[in-house]
Amino acid sequence: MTEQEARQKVKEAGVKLLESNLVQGTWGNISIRLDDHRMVVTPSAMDYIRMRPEDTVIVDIYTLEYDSPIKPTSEKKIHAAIYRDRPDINAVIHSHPLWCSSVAAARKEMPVVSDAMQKAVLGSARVGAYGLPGTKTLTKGAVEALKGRNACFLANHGMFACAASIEEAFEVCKIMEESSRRFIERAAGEILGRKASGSDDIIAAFRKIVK
Amino acid sequence: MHEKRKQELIDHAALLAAEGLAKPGDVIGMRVGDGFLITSDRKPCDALTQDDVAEIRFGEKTEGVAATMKAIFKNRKDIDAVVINHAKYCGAAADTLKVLPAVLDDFAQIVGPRIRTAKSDAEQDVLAALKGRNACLIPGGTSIATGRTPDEAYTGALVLEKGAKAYIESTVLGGAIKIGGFDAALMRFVYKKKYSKKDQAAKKEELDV
Repeated sequence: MTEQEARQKVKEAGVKLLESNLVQGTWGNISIRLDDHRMVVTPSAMDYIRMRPEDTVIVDIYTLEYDSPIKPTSEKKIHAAIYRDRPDINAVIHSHPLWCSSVAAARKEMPVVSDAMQKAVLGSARVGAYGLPGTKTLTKGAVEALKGRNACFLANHGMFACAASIEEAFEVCKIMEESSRRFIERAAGEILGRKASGSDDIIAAFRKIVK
Repeated sequence: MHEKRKQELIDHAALLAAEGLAKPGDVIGMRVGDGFLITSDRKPCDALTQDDVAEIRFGEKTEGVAATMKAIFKNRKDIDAVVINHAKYCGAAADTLKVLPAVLDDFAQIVGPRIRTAKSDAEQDVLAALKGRNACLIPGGTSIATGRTPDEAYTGALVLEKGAKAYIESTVLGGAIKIGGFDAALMRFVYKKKYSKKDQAAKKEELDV
């Protein structure tokens, strides 16, 4: 893949994430591996509609150096650490989709809830250790939680999805969001003592807990 | 006058409606000169035209949501845009919680470490709940989110609902784990002073006509 193609794919994936409601505002970041030592990443604090392909930044996976006046995402360390640890991974999406974020806020490992999840994530979705953005704790937590998996949650933060291509990483992202919804609805059903579906049932379960 | 700014409000009102975060009567406004622009509370957020955005001066008599918005702009010089809306999870949080804490870091960054539920929808109660914050909940299901631009206030409304959803759903999963006060305050500081400054400045500049 050429630099231009990778930049274009990153831009398109960003817009697709926004359109699919898998990210809000400037939150979240995307990368594609260019070769064994470089990745193309989204810039810092720029929403995906305003972002142009040329605003993406090429970053060295080992040194984190970049040759651009545009600052890359502050989460570049995690993307780079995943590429260093996982030669099979060529694309990484970090996002904060709604249902995934709720699981991340509970810091609960999500069991496999469907065949699609098993196939896409390769097992349960673990939660990486809590850490402030940009810290080593957060990076280490993500890499550990991703061992043998294609996705993980980050405590109180969001999720990482990765795969051999950006198209597959996007699918992993979608399946994580759908699986999180099922996981939460199942928990609400246990509280209500019946099948739960949708926000009204979840809120009813919450009211039952806090009353 | 203010066509570009009015369109910005209309576009963000439509986005709120598309996200399912607006009910009839909800409004969005922004500061202009010695007053503010506000969308009509008599039309759905996804059906507004330029004629549905009114300019109100601070000296004019107001009532309802316009009065609440005027009180916010007059008392909070740091706020240039306000969203007053209704969202499902925020409504449930307002009914059950006095304080909604940050359980997600984007909430801590964009909204703040925690937000309060106002005692009532009276102006002084809303201003008290907003003190030192840029969002609050109101009993009955109304939410207020503010920002430096309509885009930031809109994003605040989104993140507020997302934070309420995460708090409620993580409680259902076994317990919401709050972000520590120091970490949340630090994230908010970094977002406000560094992370978003350039983006919001660019968006403000685009509206200067």
